[in-house]
Amino acid sequence: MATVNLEKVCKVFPNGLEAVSDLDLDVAEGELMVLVGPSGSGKTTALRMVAGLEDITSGTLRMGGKEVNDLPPKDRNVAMVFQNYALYPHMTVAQNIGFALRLRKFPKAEINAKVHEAAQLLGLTGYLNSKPGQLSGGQRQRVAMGRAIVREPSVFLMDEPLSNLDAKLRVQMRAEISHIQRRVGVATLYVTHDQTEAMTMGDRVAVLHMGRLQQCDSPQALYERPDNVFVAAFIGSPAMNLYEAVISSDGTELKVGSQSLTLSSSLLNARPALRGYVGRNVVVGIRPEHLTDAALGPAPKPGASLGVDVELIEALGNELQVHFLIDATSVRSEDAQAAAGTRELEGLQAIQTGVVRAVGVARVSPRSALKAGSRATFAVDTERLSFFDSESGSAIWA
Amino acid sequence: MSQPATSGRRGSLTKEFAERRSIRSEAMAYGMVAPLLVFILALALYPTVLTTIDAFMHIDPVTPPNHFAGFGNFTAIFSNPEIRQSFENTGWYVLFGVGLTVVLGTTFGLLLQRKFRGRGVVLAIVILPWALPGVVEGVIWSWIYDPTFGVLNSVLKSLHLLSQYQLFIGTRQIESILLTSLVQVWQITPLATLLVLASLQGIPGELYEAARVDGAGWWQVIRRITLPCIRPGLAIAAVEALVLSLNIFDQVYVLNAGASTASSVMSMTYFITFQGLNFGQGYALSLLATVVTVALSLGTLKLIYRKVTF
Repeated sequence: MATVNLEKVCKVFPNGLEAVSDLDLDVAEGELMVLVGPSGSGKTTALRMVAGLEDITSGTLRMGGKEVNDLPPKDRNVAMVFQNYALYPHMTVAQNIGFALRLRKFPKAEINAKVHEAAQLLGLTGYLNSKPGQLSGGQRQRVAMGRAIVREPSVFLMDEPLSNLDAKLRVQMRAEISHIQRRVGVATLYVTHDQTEAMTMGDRVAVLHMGRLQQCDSPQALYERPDNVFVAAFIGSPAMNLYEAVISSDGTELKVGSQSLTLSSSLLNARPALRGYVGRNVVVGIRPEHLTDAALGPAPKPGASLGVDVELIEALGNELQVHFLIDATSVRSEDAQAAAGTRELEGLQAIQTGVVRAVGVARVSPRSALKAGSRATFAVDTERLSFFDSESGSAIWA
Repeated sequence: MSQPATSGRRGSLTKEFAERRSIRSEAMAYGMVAPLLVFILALALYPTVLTTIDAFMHIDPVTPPNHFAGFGNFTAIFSNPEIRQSFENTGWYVLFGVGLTVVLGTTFGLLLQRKFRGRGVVLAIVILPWALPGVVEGVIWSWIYDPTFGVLNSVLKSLHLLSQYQLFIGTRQIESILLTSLVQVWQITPLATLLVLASLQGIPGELYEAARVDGAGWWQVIRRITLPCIRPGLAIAAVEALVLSLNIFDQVYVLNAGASTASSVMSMTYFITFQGLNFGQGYALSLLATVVTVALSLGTLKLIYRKVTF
């Protein structure tokens, strides 16, 4: 077992592309660290540098306190699970799992014992003589896991191991991998572009964007206190609603489009830095669950509601996801758009009859009687709003 | 009441229509392959049948009449020391031909798999020998091996490996066979290279990376990952080399002429049939060569070919 430390690690490809810039990351022993980010964020490159499959342009990579920048993959004692599993097609499941041990010239009996032990842990005992081509996606995934754990490596590396599985199996395997990782207790770097996977599996989650680390924290902290607009927009499904807003000159109101929200003194006390933004533009973030159908509860206090036009309602059984248009300006920063992804990007801003309107999502109770095409009022939990500098995109907290 | 009857009739009509359509599409399929089938029957099956029949006949314009000879042709073949010599020689041709072609094809395939500047040009040069007819190659190489002005003699002498110019082909058996076989290897290696290259390009890069992370060095990667994964390509390359070297003729004929030192079964067949005019024995040798070629090809496929699904 070992820790993994990346210190100012950079990767510049021969074509000049800087895939990873000044990455600082510490993975503790037994920790499952998830690297998450959209395509091209540098997460896989970072993982491959740790594996030794990519050279490190600059910076230092340490494993167990020892610098390993120039060590070949075979001398790093890391095990990797690849996106397409990379199972050896000509070998049986048992040979696949035992391959690394065979290379290390372990005695046959010991290899057999270890392979059987891993197969038992992964429920593969009945398939040891099958070839990978005869297995289902989930079984192949397990073989790839088996190949990784049988070596008892210092570090596990996983590159989007669940992305080829169907949705149901992905949820099941997510839990299995977490379970196995905890049982084996080895420092793990896990790459995914799926923020749900990141949130559910990671002890900590490192969010990357354009090769730079945006924030590294526990899933809950990332969700509740995102450091910047990118993290706010990327973490959470549905994503946080982000709008341009102005703090009134007396600092008591937040103007979102033509509507106003009251900034309570408790909120201002909790985030004193907001006082520095009086009379200035900010970005306000509202999580979908902090918007509730005002018709269901007591009438909201003045300045704690927003009027919207309901566009579409998705019923999920336990909740309704209400897609709406609001008289406001969406955040147009590249970061927020990259985080939202192209699908939402197209709908980020809706222009109707000369009035700029922004889209948004609310998660409301299934008891709500809202209908698509109707006007609705949402009560806003103003104490839980997030604020960001409209220039830099950094969060305004303390 | 009329409803079920109508739907029943409609059902049977639909079934009838489907059947008719399936028959028509089946007939269409047969129609499409028919020309090829006729071609194969006329050019392959018919001569094979004829050869098989004539192999058991005494057919010799010098000593007529033609008559049924049973296994006479075969016993004559096996008791002819020159033909027995050609069997042994052909064994060597197969050994050198298959061995060298597979080894060189794999090596070139592995080298050409790497991306480097000018790879396209190198690939074109490597493929070039494949495009030349065997006789042309034989002539080129007879100049190379020529005992009086050949390049090989000149190079070896300038390297002080030879004290004087030598006759390479026609004196020593193995040396003659090896040098003759080299000409064929030179010609068929490009195809083997392409087959190996095609197989190599089908191997996902992740497999090599997984092996490296698992602890394999470059040789172990080649031995345990690359070679097993290119077995389909290797099998076809080996069978191709086997068939061509078992039936080697052009190169032997051009480089050795009538000398039996490096004669092959095919060159013997040619001499017996068209110079000795002993057609019956010629057919028997041809039949023997066909049977051995088919049997060894199937054996080679069974030995090397493994289906690999990535």
